[in-house]
This record gives sequence, structure tokens and C-alpha cells, in this order.
Amino acid sequence: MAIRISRRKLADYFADEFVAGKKDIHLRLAAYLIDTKRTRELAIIVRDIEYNLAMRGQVIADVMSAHELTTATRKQIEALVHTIKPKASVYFRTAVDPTVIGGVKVEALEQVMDSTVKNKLTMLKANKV
Amino acid sequence: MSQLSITELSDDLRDAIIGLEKTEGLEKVGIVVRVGDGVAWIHGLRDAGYSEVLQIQTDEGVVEAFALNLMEDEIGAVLLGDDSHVRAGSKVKLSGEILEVPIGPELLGRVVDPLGNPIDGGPAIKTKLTGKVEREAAGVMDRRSVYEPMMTGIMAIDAMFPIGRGQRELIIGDRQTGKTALAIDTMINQARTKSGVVNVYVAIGQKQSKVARLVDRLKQEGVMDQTIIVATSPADPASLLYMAPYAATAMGEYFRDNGGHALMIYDDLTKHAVAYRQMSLLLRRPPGREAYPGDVFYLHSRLLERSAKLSDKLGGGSLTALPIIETQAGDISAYIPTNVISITDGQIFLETDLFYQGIRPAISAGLSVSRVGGAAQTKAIKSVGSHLKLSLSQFRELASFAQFGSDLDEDTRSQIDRGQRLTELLKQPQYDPMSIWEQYASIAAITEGIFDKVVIKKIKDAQIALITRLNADHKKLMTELDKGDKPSEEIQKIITKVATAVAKGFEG
Repeated sequence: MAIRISRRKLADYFADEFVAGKKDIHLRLAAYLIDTKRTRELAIIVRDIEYNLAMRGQVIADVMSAHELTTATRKQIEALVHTIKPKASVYFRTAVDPTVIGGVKVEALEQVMDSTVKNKLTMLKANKV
Repeated sequence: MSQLSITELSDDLRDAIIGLEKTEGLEKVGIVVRVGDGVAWIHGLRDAGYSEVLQIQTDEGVVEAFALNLMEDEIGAVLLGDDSHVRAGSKVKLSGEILEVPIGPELLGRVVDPLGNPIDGGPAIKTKLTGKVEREAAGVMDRRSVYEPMMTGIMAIDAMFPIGRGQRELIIGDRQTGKTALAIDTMINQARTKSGVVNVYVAIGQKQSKVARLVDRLKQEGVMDQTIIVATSPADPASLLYMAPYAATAMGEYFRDNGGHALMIYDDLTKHAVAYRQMSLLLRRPPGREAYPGDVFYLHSRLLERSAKLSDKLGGGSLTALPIIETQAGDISAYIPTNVISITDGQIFLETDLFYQGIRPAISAGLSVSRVGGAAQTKAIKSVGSHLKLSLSQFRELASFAQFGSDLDEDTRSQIDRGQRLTELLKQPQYDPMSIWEQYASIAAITEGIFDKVVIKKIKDAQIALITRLNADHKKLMTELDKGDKPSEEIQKIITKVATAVAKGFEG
């Protein structure tokens, strides 16, 4: 019976493999998760791998906005990420959602900055003003 | 009026918007992986500290939780609110602080939950200060030994097992033996004697009807003004039951740290241990004896160690604790009772048999003890009550033999007679604490043999007559005796004279 490996160790290993340029990482990870019946943990393991990659200087930023990102906004987001991880390469994963009304929501390094109008309105409601 | 409201509203709105503008920036966020039974498992938040407050964002607002299991892959957090709105995938933020509750004199007279929210239907409580729920106990150099009395008003306790300010005295016994009654009487006595001691009563998983009755009674007795009640019911999550005594202690510590005196009543720590066992099992911590986790001793030791008599340098305040433990069939050697017995400075053991024999309070003279209270006993009571415990223990032992035969020698016969009168005298109705002089006069009448010829059934009547006569004819001297100093020869002579006269009226 295989020893259960912690998610943190798995993520560390696959992040190393990714940085080393190995190409069949996704297949091996999928095979391991199926074999150990841990497919339900996939989303969390991916999040852990992204965090480990960020620690190695490759930050994936999830950005949600009401409109397509402009170059200026991208640069601002890069600058924001660099305040936590200087000199890191920033890769964008963008999504457009008109319901956020305005502003952007950035998720990177297990951190969030939500400056959307929708969030502000929600917080106003929560504060019962 | 409406114009004023609109102005206030626009000011509030402006402040809120300014507040929101300041909140921008990256915040650490975790994700709820699993949730159930009041426990949430959270991924992320690698910097979370032990016992740190986490804020789980739900559609219905923020639900607070505190981190108790910091594991390699996830955090086990116990929810402080309703878990029905927390879902897998909910975002979790670090608050950066450990749990704090409002503290201060504003809480006096109120009934609150362990988070300090009022549950008595009164207005919101606005305190200037907050106190940490988990706090280190005072160190060795910050303390001094117990020396001031904490009068309970219960003759059997004040005479045989005296309690001092800063002491931890356990009240232990089966269900329905009068444990809470002792604690309530002690609270009432603080108000009657104007001792200045603040009462903090912690109801851990107690029925709400019982708490309501208690509040009513305390109001009737005029005690509520100097009392804080921290209440949790069986319907509350285990996390709140777990937190209640710590939060209440933080409220009591405010008075202790400001040179005042507070009395903590934890009713009861058995339910507290059960709540902690529930949380620990749900957090998948390994079960030990009786399925309690390994740190169940620490659970209570760190709580009770916060009760202390502070040094004069720190203001000389005190925090006295009366924890309550419920036993099963009188078994004081079970896990939690032995733990708490070893932590506290003595215990008052209440026996079911005595209770149903009508001996109330049903205090067992043999199994009860006060390890440090002797130094705090008033000189007046000490002068008459020093041999009481031994006499009563010997009597109860002899009494069990006496029922087998009547051919007893004179000494044994007189010891049994005295014991029967003493037992009768120490019976005391609920909600009727006695002052120092009442206790002194009553005990003196028995120990000096003045009531030896009084019919046993009339001992209580004789006692009442003695107290009434002394109060009517010698009030000034009795007020002097009430200070607790060793009585002068004049006072002793007067009490002997009045008691002798009273005894004649009740002889058989």
C-alpha cells in the first residue's frame, strides 16, 4: 500500500519538475491522483502547485474585471505582485464578468485584492450602513 | 428629527466608504475544503497562528472561526457561529488577532454570550476595553498567598472549609445535590455583606430556563448589579461552550487587575470537558481515556491558574474560582473529577445520601477539604470552629456504629449527642446566607455545650431565637463581632448568657 504523500510535498515535487522543464507532468499527476483515489483534491493541489511556482518566481495572477484589461492595468497588477514577490514573472489568467460593474479582482500567491464595485457594495451591505 | 437622521446617515455612509477605500491591497485568503459539525477544514492561510480568529465569507455575511489544528496541508477551525451558510469553496481571511471579548464595568448586571453580546434583551454593551480570551496566568512573583476571607455565608463552609480570596475551591457532587445552590448563596452573600466582590457566573451548556430562573432570583436578592452572567445553552455550538469560561475569566480579570475582587463560578466544568471532547474528536485528535483528548488536564489547569491573589505591587486584586463538577453515582475517581481535584486548592463534596436525609447543604465532612483557606478564615469563626470538622467526621463514623447497639459508653454517647446537634445546626435553608456574628453565636452555643440539653428537633428554633435575641438586645456588639476579629470576653460572656437563657426554653 502506497504511503499517503501530503499535498504540500506533492506540490513541491511537481513545481520542481515544472521549473525543470519536464513535459509529462500533468499525465503523471493525473495518474497518481487516480491511483491513490485523490482526484477530488485536484483543485487544491493545483492551487498548491501554483503557490510553489510563485515561490520559484513564476506567479500566475487570476484577474477578473468588467472589461478587457488594458496594458496600463496589467502593468499595475504586475507592480502589485512585485511588492510581494520582486522580479517574479507574472502570467495572467483573465476573465471578464460584467456583473462586477467596475474595478478588478486579483488573486495571486494565495492572496486576493478585490477592488471591484460589486465587492464594495457587498461590504457596504454587510456593514449595514 | 428626520433631517438629523439623514445627516447622520450620510456621515455614516461617508465614513464607511472611506473605510472601504483603505481596505484595498492584497489579503491572504484560504478556501474552505470541508465543513460539518461546526468544524471547517481550510486550505491555504499558511501564516495562521494557533487560536487565531479566521473570517469565513458566506452569502449571509462573515462567520468567525478559530484555528485549532494547524496541519501540513490544512487548518482545522472551529466555527463560532452557524455552519449552515459555510460551504466548501468559501473564502477565509486571517483576522491577525486572537479572540478578544469586551471587558469592563459596563458588563455588570448583564447576561452575555461568550463573545460578549447581550442576550438579556437589553441595549448593546459598549465597553472601552477588550480582553484576550486566552491569557497567561499571573507568575510566581506577581502573586501573594491567600489571606483575605471570601465568606460564603454557609456556616458549614465558612467554619470547616474556609475559602480565601484568590483560592480555587471545587464544588463536586452528583446531580441534584445542591452544587449550584452553594454557588448562588455565595453570590448572594457578597451582596448582603457588601463585600465589594464582583460575581461572574458562567453557565456552560445550562438550560436556558435555569439561567432565566437564576437571573430572576439574583434580581430579587439585589445581587444582579454586581454580577455578570456568561451563558451558553445546550443548543449552542461546542465552540461557544468551550470558550465560555475563558471569556468569562477575561471579564473577571478586569476587576482583579484593577485592584478589585471577583468571584468566578464555572457551572459546570464537566460539560466544558464534554464540549472540548466533542471538538477534539471532530478535529480528529487522538482520543485518550474516556475519549477525552490528551490535553484535557491543560484545558482546566490553564483556566483555573488564572485565579489568583495578586501581590500588593500589582494592586492586590483577587480572582476566586468556584468550579463545579458533576459526578456519576458519587464517583470522584473518574477522569475529569480527579483532574480538577488535583488542580484546585480543595473541594466541597456533596453527598446524595446526606441530601436525601435532609442534611442540606449535603456537605461531606470527611471528603471535603480546603487546603489554603485556613489562613484566610476570620479569627472569630476560627476561635469556635477549629475542631468542628474533626468532631463532625468522628460523629458520622460513630453514628454508623451506634445504630447496631445502645450499650455505648458515656464519652461516645455524648459525642454522638453533640454531633447530632451540630448536624442539625449546620442545616441551612437556601438563599439564606449567615453573617459572621450569626455563625459565631450559633457554633459557640453548640461547641460550648450550651445547647446540649436542647431537643435535637428544636435546635434550629433555638438557633433562630438566639440570633433574634442577640440582634434585638446587643446589635452594636454584634456589628463589632461581624468585623471578624476574635471576640472580646464581654461579647463571649453575653453570647453565653443569652444562649443559656434561650436553651432553657427549648429543653425536652
